[in-house]
Formats: sequence, C-alpha cells, structure tokens
Amino acid sequence: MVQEGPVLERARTFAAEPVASRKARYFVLEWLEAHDRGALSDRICLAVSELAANAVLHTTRPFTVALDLVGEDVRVELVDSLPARMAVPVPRGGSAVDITSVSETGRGLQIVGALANRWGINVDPLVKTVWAEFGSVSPEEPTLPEIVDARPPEEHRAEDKTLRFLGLPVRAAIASGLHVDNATRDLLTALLEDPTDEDKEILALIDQSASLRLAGRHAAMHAASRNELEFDFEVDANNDTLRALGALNDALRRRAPGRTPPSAEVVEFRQWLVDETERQRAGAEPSRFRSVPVVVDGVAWLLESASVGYVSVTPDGKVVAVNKALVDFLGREVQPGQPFVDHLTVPAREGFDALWNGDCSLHFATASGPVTVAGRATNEGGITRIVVELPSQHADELLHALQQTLIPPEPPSVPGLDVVAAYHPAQGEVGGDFYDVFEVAADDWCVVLGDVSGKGVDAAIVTSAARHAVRSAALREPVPSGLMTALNRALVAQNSSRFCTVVLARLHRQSESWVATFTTGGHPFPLLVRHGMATRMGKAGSLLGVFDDVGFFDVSIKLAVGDALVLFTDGIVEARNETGELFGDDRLHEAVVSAPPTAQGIVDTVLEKVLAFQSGHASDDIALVVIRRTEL
Amino acid sequence: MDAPLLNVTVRTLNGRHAEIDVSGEVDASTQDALRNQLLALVDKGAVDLVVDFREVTFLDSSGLRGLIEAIQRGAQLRLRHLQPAVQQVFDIVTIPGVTIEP
Repeated sequence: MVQEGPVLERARTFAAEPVASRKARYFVLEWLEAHDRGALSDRICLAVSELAANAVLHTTRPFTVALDLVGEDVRVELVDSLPARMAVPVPRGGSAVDITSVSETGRGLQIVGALANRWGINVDPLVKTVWAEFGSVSPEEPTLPEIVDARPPEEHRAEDKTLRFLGLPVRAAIASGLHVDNATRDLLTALLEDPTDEDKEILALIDQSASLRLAGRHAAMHAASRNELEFDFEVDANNDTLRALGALNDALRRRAPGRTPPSAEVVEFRQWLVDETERQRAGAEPSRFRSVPVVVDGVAWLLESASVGYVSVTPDGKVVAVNKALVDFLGREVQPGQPFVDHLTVPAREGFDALWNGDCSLHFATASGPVTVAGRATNEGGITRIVVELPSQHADELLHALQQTLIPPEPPSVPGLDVVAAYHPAQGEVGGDFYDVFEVAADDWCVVLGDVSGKGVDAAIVTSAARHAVRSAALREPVPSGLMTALNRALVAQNSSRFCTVVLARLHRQSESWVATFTTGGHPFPLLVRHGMATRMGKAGSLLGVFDDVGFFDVSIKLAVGDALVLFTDGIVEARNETGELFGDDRLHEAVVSAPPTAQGIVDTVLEKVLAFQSGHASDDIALVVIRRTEL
Repeated sequence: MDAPLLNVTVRTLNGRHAEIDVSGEVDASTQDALRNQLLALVDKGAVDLVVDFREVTFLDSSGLRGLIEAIQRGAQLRLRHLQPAVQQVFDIVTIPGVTIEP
C-alpha cells in the first residue's frame, strides 16, 4: 500500500515571534479538519496559542508543534529549547481561577490545564516538551500536568561550566553524560587491528575520561568550524587520557614508522590545554596560549590512514601536517615546520604558491626521481590543504580507501531503536554519499545522510568536511534546521564547486518514547513506515554548500513501536534498468513495505531490489539508514 | 502572514460610558490594539466600558492583558456577544470587574 499525493505535515517549526501563536493555530486547525477532528478545534487552538505564546516569551529559538492521533484523541506536542534554569510553573486546581493573580506564563498553563484531558511537561537538558491530549469531552476539573524533569540533579549541574579556550566559549557539558567520541574509538580500533593487552588498556582509558577530553576537543572543533584556528583533534583535556593517547601514539608509531610525529608546538599546545582546563575548572580566568596562535591541522588525522597524499601548509609555506601515503611516496621524512618546497624539484620551487586554491600540479623530487602529480588545494582559515592523487596506485583503490575512512563501520546500538545502515559504492568509481550515526548526549542521537555532487578526491574532501562539521555543530545546535544551517556555513566556507544534499535527524528519548525531528536540504524526503504504509515526510529545504541564505524546516514525529524511518540517497530512486526505466518512489515504497519488519530486513530488501533492478551494477552510490523503533 | 488583524472601533463615547466594537483575533500579536484603545478611553475618563465581541473569532490569555490593565485603572468592563471560542476562556478564568453579558 502506498499513500498517494501530498501528505499533510504532522509537525511544523515556527520562529519565536509574536505572530507564531497565530501561525501555529492555523497549522493546527488545518490538520484537525483534515483528520476529522474539527469539533476539538476551539479547545486545541486555544491551548496551542497559549503554549506558543509561552515559548515566544521564554526563548528566542524556534519551536516545533507536532500533532498525532492517539486512538480517537488528539495529542499535541510543543518542543522548544529550554532556558537555562527555568522553573516549571504548576497551575492550581479548581475552576474559574482569578487570573489577575497568576503570572503571564501561569495564565496560559492554567488554561491548558482546563482544556486538556491529560497533559505534561518533559524537561531534558536540551529541550522542553509540553504535551497535551484532547478527548471529545472537556475535563470536569482542571488537570494537573505530569512533569518529568530529566535534567541532571542540581549537585551535578553545578559542575556545568563554560570553559574558554583562546577566547572561545565552549560549553563543557560535563554533567550531561556525553560519552567518548565514537569516531575516535572507531578510528583507533581500526588502526589497531590486532590490539595487544597494552593497546586494550589504552582504549579502556580513553573510554573512561570522556567529558573533559571532549571539552578540549569541542574547543578545537568549535574553533575549526569558525575557521578561526585549527587544532589537532587529539587535543586532550584530561591528564589520564592524554597519557593514554600519548602511549597510543607511540604504539602506533612503532607499528607504522613512517607516521609523522606531532610537532613540538602541538605537544606543547596539548599540554597547555590540559593545564588550562584544570585552571579554569578551579575557577581561574581564561588565559591565552602564548601570544601567537598555534596552527594545527585538524583534518590530518582523518586522512592519516587514507591512500591519497595529503599535506597542509601555512601561508609562508611551512608544513603543518602530512600523511603517511605522501611520506611513503616521497620516500623520506617530512618534518612539521619544514618548508614544503624542500620536497619539490628545484625548478618547481619558485612556482609554488602557499595560497593556492583549486587544481594544481606538483613536481615532487621523490627519493626515486622527479614525479609530477595532479592535486587540489583548498585555502581557508590560514592553512592550505593539498590533496594529491598519487600515481603509484590505482586511483579507484585510493578513493575507495578514502571513502572507507568516511563511513562509520557499524551503527551503534541504542535502546529502543534498531539502527542499520548500508553503503554501496557505484560500480567502478566512488562518489560522495556518506552517513553518520552518533550520540550527542545521553538519549540524544544524530543521524545524517548526504550526497556530495560529483566524484573523486575533492568530492571526498567535501564529504569529510561535511561529516566533521555535523559532528562538531551537533553539540551546540539542538534543532536539526539550526544544525543544517551550520553545516551549510561550513560547506560554503570550503569554497568548493561541490554542493551537497542532506537529510538530518535528531532522535530524542523522552522517558518511554523516542521522538525523531528531521530536516532535509535538497534531498529526497525520508519515508515513515507505519502500519504497513510508507509515507514521505518532510518539507523541502535548500541545497547545501552553495548559498549563504538558506532555509530549512523541522518535522517531528513520535516513533511508535514498529515505526521505521528510512533515510536514503537518490542513488536508489534514480537507479535505472537496462531499458532506462527509473526505480522510482513506488518501487522503493513497495520494497520497504514488503520487507521483513526489522531495520536489517528493510535495508537488505531495498538493497537487493535496487541492485537486482540494475542487474547488479549500481550506476551511482547508494546509502541507506533505517531507524526502527523497538520495545525498550 | 496575511492576517485578519484586529480592528477596534469606538462606537459611542459619552462621558463615563463607552461602547467598543472589536473584530478579528486577539492574541499576543494583536492584543496591543485592544489594550491601547481601552487604556486611551480610561484616560479620557470612560470607566464603564461595553465591549462587543460579536466579530471576535479568537482570544487567548495574551488578549486578556488589556482587559486586566483597564480594570486595574479603575474601569468596569462588560463583554457582549461572545462566540464559543472566546466564551471558553471566560469559562476557565475570571477577572474581577469583568462581567460577561449575552
């Protein structure tokens, strides 16, 4: 069964402005009438107007109104970001209250309590949700809200502290239970295919410290995303973990002798970050690292294990970072701080420009003689990154290896959610599909899936930048549309000719339920699979990486047990068979509906059908993420 | 949004007595128009205010602000011809000094 025609949105996001109440009412009214609940519209529109007015009064962030049918009743949710220490006002019992004695916020809630048959307020560290359910008969007495405050207890919250690094505020969410960055662990685990006991001990140490280390890392990412300064991603704010990482680096270097050691500047900076964190936690004012900001390349580690050559240089031509592939290709050590031209042929040295941007040609003096290779330079934030396609290996293999560093090996396990992803590269070449699934905070997950235009090394670089930007911005942008805007900013700053389409979902657990809020930019809408029907959900947003001025819209839905959300790239619906026929939406809908009811079942069925349709030869990348709500 | 904004018209002003016709929707974005008119009348000495809500299709608690302030400055309000969507608000809350008339 495939639902035809446009689907009325279940949720819409509104800017915090005075007319938001009215816009929210009209949205609700339209939905109620379309769902044959017009008889409830007076009560629900009034309640929504009150809740929206309160949201506008208390935050400047957008809020989302979501609607759902619960049996015969209507459920309304209003989700907004929470002002720091907001107390939750509790309405009084009794009817016909003298409203002049109640605060402005309280008046609205008093009215909601009189209209709704059940209602409540869920508060967690990132968002506040007010929900209300309306049956056909008004409550006889005003109802009191069910309040669930999932914020950490006060004594822990006191530890929440804004640390500042080089003048940049970083919200160190120490109390919110941030876990160790899975990317780091995956990367390290991948590098250590056969870990020794010592390696395992190091990994365990990294797992333990998490929060302070993340504070330092977030400072670095924050700085990097604003192009203000670049840091090594391995900066660490916890002495134990720093030691562990140091030991790990040593272990890695023993296994891979060609790897470039960090420069003395980086080592010094890491130590400063550790000390500075301790000082600030003890109450000291922020200080600066020396007088001159250090330049450290944060992208380098992503490409450390890649097979393309990578080097970054400062405007005066000094090497910041170089990866193993390029060192191997050159056949000699490259020292950070060394002039990059030392590795070029003598005639080529004069032509080298450390501020290159775009395609370039490099004449290397390798240990085995002069070799000319094509590269692509990206200049931004006081650093020029040059990716070169090395001639010694087959380009497809190189790109494939690079692509593999961009795709997380396996989605993590989340209680109540079954998440399965698949990535199938196109036949014979590698494009720019990517996905990522990561935990932002306890019970707060981010899923992103995107498609960078074109193929090849520079598409892969944009892909890596996109994934990195989402991870870094997710911490300060709880709302998907805001995260998307930040991602666009980062991609526009790349100054690449590539553009990108993205679908992004944020999953919040609210006590026993999971709520998915998602947004799309130039991307096919996700499918909601519910009760054997597949429905496209979403509202079109801008393409990313092209324009400064973009718009995105959030759509929220509470996932019922058995619901599945299917995120996919256009390699699926635009797959063609031998006669040129498109796979299309209908075949995709049929595939997800007919699949075994598990995330894996849906992924397998879709992949199998798309590949069979193309006789086994995918003409474009295919990426697919399925999130299915299971019992907790 | 193209809004059916709020219109507030003074039908009669006769010393202490004034009658006002209101039409549209009274919420956070429009309540100023009602509030300003009520307070202007109170300032002119009109303290017995009859407000005809016949054409008002919506009112929320933000819209009560003007009524409450007028009362606090010594006025008495009589609200007439409430539609069900507006009546429900006054079934829930009371404002001393405001009477609801059919």
